[in-house]
Amino acid sequence: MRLTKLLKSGLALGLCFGLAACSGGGASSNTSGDSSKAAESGNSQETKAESDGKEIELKIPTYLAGENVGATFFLPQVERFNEKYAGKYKVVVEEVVQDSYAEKIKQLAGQNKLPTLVHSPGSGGIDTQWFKQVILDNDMAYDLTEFAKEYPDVSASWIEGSKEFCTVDGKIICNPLIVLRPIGLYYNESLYKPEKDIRDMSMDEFISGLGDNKFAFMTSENAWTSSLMLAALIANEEGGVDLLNNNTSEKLWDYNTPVMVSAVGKLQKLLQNNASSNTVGAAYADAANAFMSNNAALICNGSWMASEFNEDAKDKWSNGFDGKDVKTTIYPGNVALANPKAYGDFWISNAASDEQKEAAKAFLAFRGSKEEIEAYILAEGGNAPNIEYSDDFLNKLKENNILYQLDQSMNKDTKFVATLGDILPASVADTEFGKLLPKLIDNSLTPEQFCAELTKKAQEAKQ
Amino acid sequence: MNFKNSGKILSKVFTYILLLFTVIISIFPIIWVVMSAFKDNAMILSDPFSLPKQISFEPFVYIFSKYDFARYFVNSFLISVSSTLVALIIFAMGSYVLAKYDFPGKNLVFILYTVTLLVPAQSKAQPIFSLIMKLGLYDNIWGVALVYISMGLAISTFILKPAFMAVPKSLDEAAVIEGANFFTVFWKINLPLAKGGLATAGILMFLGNWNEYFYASILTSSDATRTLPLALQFFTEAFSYNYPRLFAALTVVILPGIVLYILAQEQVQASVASSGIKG
Amino acid sequence: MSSKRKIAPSKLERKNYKWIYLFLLPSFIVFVTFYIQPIFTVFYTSFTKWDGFNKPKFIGFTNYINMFGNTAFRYSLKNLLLWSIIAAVFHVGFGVLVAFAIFKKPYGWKFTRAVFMIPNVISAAAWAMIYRFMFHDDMGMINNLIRKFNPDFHIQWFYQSPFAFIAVTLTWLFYAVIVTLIVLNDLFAIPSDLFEAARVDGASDFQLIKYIQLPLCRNAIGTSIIASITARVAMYEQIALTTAGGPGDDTMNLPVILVKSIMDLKYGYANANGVIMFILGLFILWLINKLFKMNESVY
Repeated sequence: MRLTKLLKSGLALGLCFGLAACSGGGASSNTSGDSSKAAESGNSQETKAESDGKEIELKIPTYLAGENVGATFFLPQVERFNEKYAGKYKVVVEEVVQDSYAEKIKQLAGQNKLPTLVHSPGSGGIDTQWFKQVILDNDMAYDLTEFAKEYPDVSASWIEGSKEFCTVDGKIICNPLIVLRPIGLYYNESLYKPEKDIRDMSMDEFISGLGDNKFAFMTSENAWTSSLMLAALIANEEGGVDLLNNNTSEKLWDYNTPVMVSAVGKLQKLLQNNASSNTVGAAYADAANAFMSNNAALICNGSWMASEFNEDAKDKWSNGFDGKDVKTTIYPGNVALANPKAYGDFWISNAASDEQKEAAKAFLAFRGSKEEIEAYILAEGGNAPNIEYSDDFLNKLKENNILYQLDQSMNKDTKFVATLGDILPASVADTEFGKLLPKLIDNSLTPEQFCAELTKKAQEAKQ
Repeated sequence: MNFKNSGKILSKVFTYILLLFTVIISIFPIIWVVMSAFKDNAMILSDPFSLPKQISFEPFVYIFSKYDFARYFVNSFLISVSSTLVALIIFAMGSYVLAKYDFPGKNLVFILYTVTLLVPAQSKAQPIFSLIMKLGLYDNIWGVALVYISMGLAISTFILKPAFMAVPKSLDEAAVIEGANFFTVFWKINLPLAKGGLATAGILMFLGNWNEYFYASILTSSDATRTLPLALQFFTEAFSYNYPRLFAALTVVILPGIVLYILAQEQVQASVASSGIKG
Repeated sequence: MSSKRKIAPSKLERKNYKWIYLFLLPSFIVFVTFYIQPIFTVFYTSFTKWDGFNKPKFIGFTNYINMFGNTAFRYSLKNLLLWSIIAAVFHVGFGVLVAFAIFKKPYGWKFTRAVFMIPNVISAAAWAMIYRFMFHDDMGMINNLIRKFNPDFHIQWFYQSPFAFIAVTLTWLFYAVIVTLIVLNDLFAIPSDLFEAARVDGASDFQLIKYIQLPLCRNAIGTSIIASITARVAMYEQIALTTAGGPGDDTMNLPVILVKSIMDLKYGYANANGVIMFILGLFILWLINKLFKMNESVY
């Protein structure tokens, strides 16, 4: 008897909540799979769509939505696209957690139900190896050669290295990069004033001039800020640039080389002498907080961090930190981290219908237009070598002090090198590297042993 | 006598220390999280113990204005309740015959059911995903609910089998002699007497479903089908550098479960605790 | 009378088979739909090289041989052994202790029982995150509390040996409410006349526990041990969201290896791990069942 009572009250409770939720805010507790979001936002366009009756809807599952840093630019861009092509195409964004994006794409690929537009390998956790073995070997990526002819303006802006990399067996299987976003470092001028531009120093000069200043390093997650420094250290070794740039395609599996050991040795010293106190165990959040609370004078990171130093991000600052003190430049030895040999931003599924492909191509072309590229650079930084910038754009860029500084810090002698994420196998780059760092810091591993351990992990990943 | 008394006092003191310890470790972390949600970044970092100086609702306002939490809550609730109820009935029937009757294949079935606990979620992902696709239930909360029904197989068999075994066979026999059929014996005698086990298994399955993340993330895609654990994941990657918002998101995601539990716990605990079984 | 009794059960049994299998059918359908194929796939592909998509290639025992050669795997087995012992003795022990304390219905017992449940109401992922913050060196409660007494105290719990192992253990060690509930359930089911009879015979509290309560909770304790050890075999969030198995391989376990292998597109290897988890689980089931005589009714 009691049991039935319990069940009844449970149901009653459920009803109560259901009703409360329905009446409050008018959120329909719609249970069917139809995205009622689409229905809601579609209302305004209904009349238009009905008038010619064939608006093509393109659903894009993406992690560039919600709170993701990339969303601040991507979502308005989608809106601009929808406005321009109202009645013809309509992009609907489906928000996916970055951590589960790759898993979802893998499952959908297994059912041959891939979405029309998919993020490229190297972004969103999509693995390069998987892309080759599953997508390329089974001819599941649409050839963009026709697209390149259809939109000559766009294909002319493609970065040569990226276009080459995306061309496999004569087919362009990913939408190549137009913008390169070089990664440098930020420093807090109220704590650390370099004697000359860091770019023009040698690595040893730079390290000895640091004094007591700290780097916001990390060892947790993928140890991002630490791995960037290691890449810069490697690039400053004899033959380091080639090591980084010649292994992006086949990856690097053996780290028992003098270049690696020497660079790791320097990283070890930096980690021991010039690392913020919270380095061991620091996730990205901790590193960012160390920098934005005057507990670290330097942090290695990409241009997308620049917005953190604007006045409107003030609530994240503490301990007297002021975004105005932040300067940016590239690494000693005139090194910047950027990898043009990458798979670009998106690829199109071969299984999509012609209509869907057409819409996807229109969207990619829209993203590649000059106005959109300029808007993108203003929002997230970077440069587009094959685009003739407008004056309006250059003026705006100058207003954004930090992005402009970074842009100006590079000259024609700048060496661009790939990051560790581009050359290490997925599991080594994402977890093993960071997990071994604490052991390097507390001296339980020498640089040689560290490289040997890392090699062992890479070999295990290969088995 | 004296010795016995002091022993009693000692055991009393020990009991209360134990209870106090249990209470502290259970709620203190949560109070700390909720408290931190009202502080600013600097205060969280510099002084983790202090009470928030001026209460700021900014993180909460932000979260609620951007996300439809009522919907996520309703989704989570509908999925969890429906799958738990169905699973409870199905697994109670199975566990009942496993507990009370001898039949060919009994041990094999029991072993098969319990080993399902050991199949890693990642290994099941592919077949389950393709099943849901074939049923046309992708991005549908009932697809998720269907998958959740299967999750409790091992744990409810664990709990329900002994619960039914504890119901004296003599009661069944008496009922049979009075002319009750198989189903009546199950429904009228065993089910009510095993309600403690049923409640425990029900709670565990409900909580498992309420908090499940992996399948919800691969089986749904739109905002309309999102569940609370999925929503938390959206925050953790996004706000990772903004502690107040992260703590606010944690609060928003964990509190409904706790409130739900507090509302239901009277009934739940009452049925678990009722000692009238052997009455 | 007696002859009638002999005939009745056999008739009943035969009639019952229909009912028995009918009752078993729904749960068996669930089993077949959701588990048969995965179990088969896991076993079969553990002997292959497989990227999860293209056709698996048979390679015999290579995955298993490689696995036993890997340090991460050996660390996992060592950790699992330690964690299993800690789970069976301290985790279950703590849960049983709380159950006995609550059973005496001291002041506040209902409140304690209700509150003890709260950590289990929260997802393992959220709980792991909360613990990561609790043990955080700058803002965490634990270190700040210790620093009130020892200002120079700085330990990165989840990232330094040997503290990482301890910290991961602490995320679940005391949260034994399931054990408490299962055991309480059995305690309340003990007929009160048994206690009264024992009391009349002059039994002390301790004797009651030793001779009546503990033996009669045998099944519940056995179930708890099985559940808590298998939870250690399958423990994922508590590690993945805190240490990710580090520093080095200090806190590695089998599911972490499994997920990592999938990341490296080694589905065959991942499933060989799955098979080992499976076999370990079966062994634990068998062992605890034997030790606690769980197939026999206690009454």
